Amino acid sequence: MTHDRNVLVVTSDSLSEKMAGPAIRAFEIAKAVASVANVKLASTVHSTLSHDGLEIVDVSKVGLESLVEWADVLVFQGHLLSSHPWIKATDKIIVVDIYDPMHLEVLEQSRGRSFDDRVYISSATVGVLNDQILRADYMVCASEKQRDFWLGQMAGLGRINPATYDADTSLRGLIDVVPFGLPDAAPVQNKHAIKGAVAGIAATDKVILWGGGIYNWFDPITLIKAVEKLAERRPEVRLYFLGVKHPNPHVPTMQMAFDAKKLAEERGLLDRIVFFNEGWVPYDERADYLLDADVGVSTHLDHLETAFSFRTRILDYLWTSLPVVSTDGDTFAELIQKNSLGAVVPAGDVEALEAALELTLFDDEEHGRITARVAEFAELYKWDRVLQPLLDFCANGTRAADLNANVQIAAVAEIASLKARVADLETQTGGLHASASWRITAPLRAVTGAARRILK
Amino acid sequence: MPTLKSGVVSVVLVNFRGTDDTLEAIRNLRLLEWPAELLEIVVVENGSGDDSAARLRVEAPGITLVVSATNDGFAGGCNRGVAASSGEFIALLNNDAKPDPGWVKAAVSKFGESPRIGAVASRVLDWDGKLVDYIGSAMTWYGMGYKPFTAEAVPPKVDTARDVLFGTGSAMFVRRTAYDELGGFDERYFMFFEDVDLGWRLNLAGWRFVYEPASLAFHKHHASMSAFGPYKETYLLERNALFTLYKNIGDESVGSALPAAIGLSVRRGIARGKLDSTSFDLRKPGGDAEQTMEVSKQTMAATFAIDQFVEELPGLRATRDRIQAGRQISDERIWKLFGLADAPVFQEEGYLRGYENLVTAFDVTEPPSATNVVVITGDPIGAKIAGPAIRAWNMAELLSRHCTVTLVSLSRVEKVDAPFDLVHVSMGDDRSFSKLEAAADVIVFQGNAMSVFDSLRDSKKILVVDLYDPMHLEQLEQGRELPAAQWDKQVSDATDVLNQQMERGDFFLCASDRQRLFWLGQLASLGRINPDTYRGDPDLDGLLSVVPFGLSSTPPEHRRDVLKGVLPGITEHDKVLLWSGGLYNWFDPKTLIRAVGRVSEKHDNVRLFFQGTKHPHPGVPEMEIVGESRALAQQLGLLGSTVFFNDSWVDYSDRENYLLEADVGVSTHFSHIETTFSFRTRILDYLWAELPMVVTAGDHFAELIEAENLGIVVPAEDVDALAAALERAIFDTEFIATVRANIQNVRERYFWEVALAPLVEFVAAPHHAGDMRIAQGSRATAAPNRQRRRRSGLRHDLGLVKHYLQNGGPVVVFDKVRRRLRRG
Repeated sequence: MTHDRNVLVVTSDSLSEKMAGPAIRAFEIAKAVASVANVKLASTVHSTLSHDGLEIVDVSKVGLESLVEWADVLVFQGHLLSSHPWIKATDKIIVVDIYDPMHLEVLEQSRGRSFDDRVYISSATVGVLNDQILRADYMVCASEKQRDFWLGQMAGLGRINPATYDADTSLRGLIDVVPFGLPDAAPVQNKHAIKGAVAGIAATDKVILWGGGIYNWFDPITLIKAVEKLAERRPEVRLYFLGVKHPNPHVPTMQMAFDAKKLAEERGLLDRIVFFNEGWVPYDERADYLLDADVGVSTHLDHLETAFSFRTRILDYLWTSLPVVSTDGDTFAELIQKNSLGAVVPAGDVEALEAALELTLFDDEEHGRITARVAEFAELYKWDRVLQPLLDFCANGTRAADLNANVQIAAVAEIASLKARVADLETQTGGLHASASWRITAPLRAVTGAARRILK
Repeated sequence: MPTLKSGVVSVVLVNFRGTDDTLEAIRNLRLLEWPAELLEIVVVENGSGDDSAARLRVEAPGITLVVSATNDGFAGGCNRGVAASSGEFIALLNNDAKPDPGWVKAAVSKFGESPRIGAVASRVLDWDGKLVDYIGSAMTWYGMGYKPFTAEAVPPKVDTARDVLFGTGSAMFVRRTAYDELGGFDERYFMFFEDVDLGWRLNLAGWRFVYEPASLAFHKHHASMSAFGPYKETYLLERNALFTLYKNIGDESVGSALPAAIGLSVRRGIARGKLDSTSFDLRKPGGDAEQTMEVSKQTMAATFAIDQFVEELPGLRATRDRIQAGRQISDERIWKLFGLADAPVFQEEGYLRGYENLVTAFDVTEPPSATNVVVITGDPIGAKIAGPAIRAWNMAELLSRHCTVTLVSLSRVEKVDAPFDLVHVSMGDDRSFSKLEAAADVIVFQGNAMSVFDSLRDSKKILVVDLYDPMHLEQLEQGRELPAAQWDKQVSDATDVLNQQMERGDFFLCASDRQRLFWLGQLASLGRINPDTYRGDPDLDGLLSVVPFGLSSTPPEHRRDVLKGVLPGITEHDKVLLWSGGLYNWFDPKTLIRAVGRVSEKHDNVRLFFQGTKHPHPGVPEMEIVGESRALAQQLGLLGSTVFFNDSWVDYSDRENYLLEADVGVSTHFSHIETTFSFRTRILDYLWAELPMVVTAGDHFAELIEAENLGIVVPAEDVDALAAALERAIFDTEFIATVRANIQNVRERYFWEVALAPLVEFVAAPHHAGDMRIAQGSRATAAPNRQRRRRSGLRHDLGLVKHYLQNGGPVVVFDKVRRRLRRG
């Protein structure tokens, strides 16, 4: 079927069978938008993916010009406008998917680099995002909390102005919420991947699953301590960390992953009670692991990143009807609490965590009730449901009222001052700048590369 | 410790060979206007070595008698007595004192005013009620507490309750929990100044010691000391003053105050003994063969006192460490309770010269300099006061407990009492403002201040930006009626103003968690969320804290009728829906008026009152919505019969009368972007007055009301839902009772003291934001409250000695001094 509109979805992540978050999201968006528009999906780095009825293009070599020319609407994530600044000057309707506040993430992610580098990376990432927000005709983010945050950033840049406000006083027409979604298909277990499959984990053991990578803002330490204590009373309890190494080789293993493993080793828990999967599980094999678990867990530190994060691992738990035990403070913690999908505990509280794990693991009745509620709740997170605002925009959206009218926005001066700040920094590190420009640009390259993946 | 009996007062009397006095005191206690079952009398027989114990046992039945074989002094005796008591409150009464019938009642009612009151000092007069014994406390810089006006005629002016450093041990009250927390009196003192020390420690621990003149007692003088030589008294006073000073004075001052105090003590001893300290000068002939000389015991008393202070140092050091580690109150605050600290007390020319030398060399008579804080509001300050000024006022009031505060209004200041300076500076009058800026350590401001004063924009002082009002979002509605170009300009100007202050601020305040998310976003757009601000503060609470609008912890009082039976059309039997605060474009009074119309079809006694239509700030225009609402009420036939508009604005102090006559508080708005991030202070008024609420969904308070069941939340612009909710909130008595109970719990979170805590904490240790690389070295950046002002040199020249001698300050004869100094 041919539609009136052409929509180009661009990701800067690898499209392949083993996809990380950003690629998955772009892929799901493209599939769903196909019901309202003619769609092409492009990766600016690498693609080996194919899908019936969807044109998927690897533009890493051929360039984007002709595809952009073809499109009426352009949907992208990451730093596309920084690497292809010419797109800003086109009159295309641009949708920016800012579900990942990468300027906040880099604050943690860049730990271990020199302080000057970190400051540079931070300013540069803010610049990338400001640039996007200034040109976006429509934006989507992952949660209401994120939306509140982005509204602030938009206000600072002058995008909340009489023109946009007059068009829609709620500003939902400018920025709306599209969380990460769940696959339509129910999970199927093709083989046991944990129980009876990992040496040291029996079919009858109770498995707590950590369903993703271990990054610096997570708190596996409190979890390991809680599990250690629980195992004294409940010897059949096991903790399994699903993803340690990221499929994208640019994403470095973070300090926290080392620390967690070291602690498990010191306490004599490694490969007895606590297990680390060293590889990255292919996207379509996740169910084999998830369905072997009894509880899904997510513990984090009380960091800024927490408030705005959207942990896709929790979606996996929802998908497979796992009760969830999570630290308080993020979007999902509220939902878990409100809908009784498991237990929410304060950050860093070993005893509370131990008690919550015991209750959700060993109270069979409670486990059953929670599982049923999780299954019901998961319906709300099906991709076709969560993508609805974006689909509506792709079908009917227009250029933003202020961009269209060439409204003079207050941001100009601010952007200038921000640029000045970055320039200052380059001057400060100027001694090195000429001879070692790689040193300045390499971290930025690595980080913007890292930031385009989802950090579960 | 036995379980404390709630409401019971345990009077502790220490008896030392004064059994007749003690028995008389017990008889007088039986005459108190106070329920006998709530009174416990504990007498400590303090090793009198006579028939006291036997007589007390026979002649005073019904008391708790504690017999000690040894004389443990006043301090030890009291501690023994308290340990044997069981009341919630301890009352200390000298055995030669006579309580007024209202003595206990007045003190206990004072305790009821605040849980922070840890002790109450009674007013104490001499036996005939003619002369003062204690009507307030004062403290010299060298550790000797004194009782101003002692032995003078009772001043004719009405005495009022106030905070003091200490009360007199002859008649005072202490909350038992506070007494235990402090470990009671310090028994090393034996007697004299143990009450001064207890009071100082109590204040340092964060309790208040309040003087309550209605709690009255009468005291005979000096029944207990007459048997001892006066030099022994001098010894105890000199020694205990050093104990007190060393234990309690802060780290910043101890190094200067203590040597000066020791020097002064020696000087006093020499002066009292009339010795000539130049007599050992080699050039003075005579006496070289004699190895001893006759010296007054008064002189030796000072020397022995210092020597015993030295002896006790290890234990005192441990006590000092504990006290200083647990201190809640800065020395700036304590100094305010000192009264006249620059008091030589002893009048003799040589002594005064030495006093002068010491205070000049050690700078001990100037108070520790407090942090200077300037708080700026754009709003007028006076009887009619709106949100921004109320907020600034409460900040100023709370900060003034520790700091020197100036509250600046950019529009108008009426004369009102305040515990801080109040100044009006016109916008753009940078000459005036720059003086305030120069004197300030910390500047707290809201609104446009930075854009109207160059000196604030360029200031290197520590800047706290209060972002509780997202004014750029407000302008989206406020400017709607203006020509398009001007509307654009107002929004973009407001954005610029905010960006400017957000680029520079060192610490930011906002009103709710949702606002915090929003402002974090705006800060992020400006690059303020960066490794410098993130370092050591990963949740950025040190950069941006939630400080909601607060409410008074004193409940509202109905002082006069304002609506029911007063306003034509509203009778005492009517049910009043109150719209507190102003009417602006982003509100939706029209849906409310329609809904009320709907309800009034069924109930003819429902009334809706709009409390404010004209904002006190002359710059805030009456919005279109006011006229439209009136017109709608008129059109529906409700105006003046069911719907009422107040044409003016209600005085701040008068609003409690309106609130207490209302039955339901309402607030309805459209679902605009402004709504999402607004913090409607009118809802706080409703909380304050325990009014069930009906509000539109979508903002901070709607979430709170829903989560805590404080009323009903309805969708925007839904007349039916609103009408149903109003009916329930007015007439469902069971629902109303539940809601009111819930409100009582929730509102405590919004008491100003609680709400403003992050600001108070920041100002206690003010600092620039991590990414503000501002030249260090200005006073403000170097821990301002650790520095003392240099003495001007003017007050303490030698001429002042004469001044002291002739008239100034506490000029008293030595006898009188002694009375002042000791507890008696």
